Amino acid sequence: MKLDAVSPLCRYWLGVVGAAALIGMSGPAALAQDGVAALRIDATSSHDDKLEATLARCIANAFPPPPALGRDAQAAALRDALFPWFDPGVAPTTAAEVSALLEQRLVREQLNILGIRYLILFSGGTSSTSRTGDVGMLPYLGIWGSWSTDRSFRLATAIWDVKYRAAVGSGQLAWSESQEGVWLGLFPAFHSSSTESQVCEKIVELVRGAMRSEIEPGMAKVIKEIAPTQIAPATTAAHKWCNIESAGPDSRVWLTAEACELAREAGTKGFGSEPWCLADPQGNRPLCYYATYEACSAAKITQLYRCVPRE
Amino acid sequence: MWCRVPLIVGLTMLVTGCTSFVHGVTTPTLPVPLVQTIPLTVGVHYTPQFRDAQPAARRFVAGSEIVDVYQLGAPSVAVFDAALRQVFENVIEVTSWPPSDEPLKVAGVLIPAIPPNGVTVYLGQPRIAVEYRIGLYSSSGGEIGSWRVVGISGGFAGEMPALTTIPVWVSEALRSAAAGVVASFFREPQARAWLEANGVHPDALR
Repeated sequence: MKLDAVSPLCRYWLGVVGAAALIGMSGPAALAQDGVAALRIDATSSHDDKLEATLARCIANAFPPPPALGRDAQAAALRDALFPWFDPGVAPTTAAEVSALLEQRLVREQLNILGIRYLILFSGGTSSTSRTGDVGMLPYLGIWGSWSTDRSFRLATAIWDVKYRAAVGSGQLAWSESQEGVWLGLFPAFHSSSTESQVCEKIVELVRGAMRSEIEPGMAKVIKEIAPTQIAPATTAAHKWCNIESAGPDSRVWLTAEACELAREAGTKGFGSEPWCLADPQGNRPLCYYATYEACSAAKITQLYRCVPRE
Repeated sequence: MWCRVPLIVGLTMLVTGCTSFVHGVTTPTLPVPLVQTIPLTVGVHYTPQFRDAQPAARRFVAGSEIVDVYQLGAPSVAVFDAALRQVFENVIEVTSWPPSDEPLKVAGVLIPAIPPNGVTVYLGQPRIAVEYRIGLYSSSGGEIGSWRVVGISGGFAGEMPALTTIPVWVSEALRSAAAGVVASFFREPQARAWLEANGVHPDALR
């Protein structure tokens, strides 16, 4: 049958079906490689964390959930699959610990099998206030009253690229829920409002930004231009590493050739026990491991690089 | 599965304003841990105190003191047994301790314990913590080391745990403790040193 013989409507229909088939063919491959999942590192429940459920909903609306985890209770299934490493009390609390965990062979293999490329790790806090309003009596109708509840949520998130074991994005999220209502006798009526949808948009934006970041294995990437005075010591690590922000994203940094040279000239100690400047076999970029805050300050280091592990 | 109404013995002392509840605890199901089996045979000894452990925790609700007693013995034995059998190639239960005559044919003997105040309830956060102490001994009975494992569980800030919620949280805390037990063999310096002394490199197994 010639295509000309097919009516325009039918041709349109065939086109739609064909396109859908193509999307369907390419879909699973994308799923298997670039899955996104979220885990709360300060969760106090392995299976029933409300903040994890909220983030999972947000992510699932924008990115197809990894098939092995399912759409519901994603975090619970992932925590089971990675037992015991993300259970309450065992989960990593610093960027260095996350990095070390993602270096574990079995963890990497499991995440790969599950099709998770981006892991959103977050810690959260909640506060809630509840107020009882007026109470009164209405003739013939009985007792009436009013109440209101406000609950606010704050999350600190870091997006990790599992493939390169590197933090590729971070952000703070906050939203609130409120409920106001009145009751008359046994009949309550209430109104709820939430800013959750705005948070969903922000987390999706963060993940998309992380996915766009160009990471190449074995290459360093400038993450921030800084003045030495802006280098903040990491407070959670045993040592004070050269780092941006207080605890992340990496405890290991690559420095520019210039920075290494400055450090060498200054005779600065504190670049780790390894030979502290190594030539990159791919180029002439020296790299330093485990530079301390003091060493960076003394060397007047002005650029920090994210360490991207080689495969 | 998680929700089992607690066994409430209901010792109510109205005169003193003190109420006591005894909570039965459900044994959690543990997932298969993401570690390779440690190729060693270990012994585990459960003391009668551990088997019958019933630690108590106090909380104050509306000015009244409530004493919660948790029947942790049997579920703790089950959780330790499951965790150790998943981690070690071979686990032998040692019924009498210390060993009487010749040394046991094991790389070491583990003896878990629950401190008297092994359960702590933090109402403000709200959170429940269950604490264990793991003693590690040589096959002849000499002490090698010991470390602490704390399982935690809880809910949202401002959420008041209901009587039916507390045993669920304790059961969750047991799972968290089991995770801590498994992880401890790869993280605790004393456990790592003991493994390495027995020819096992823990980092190669995870």
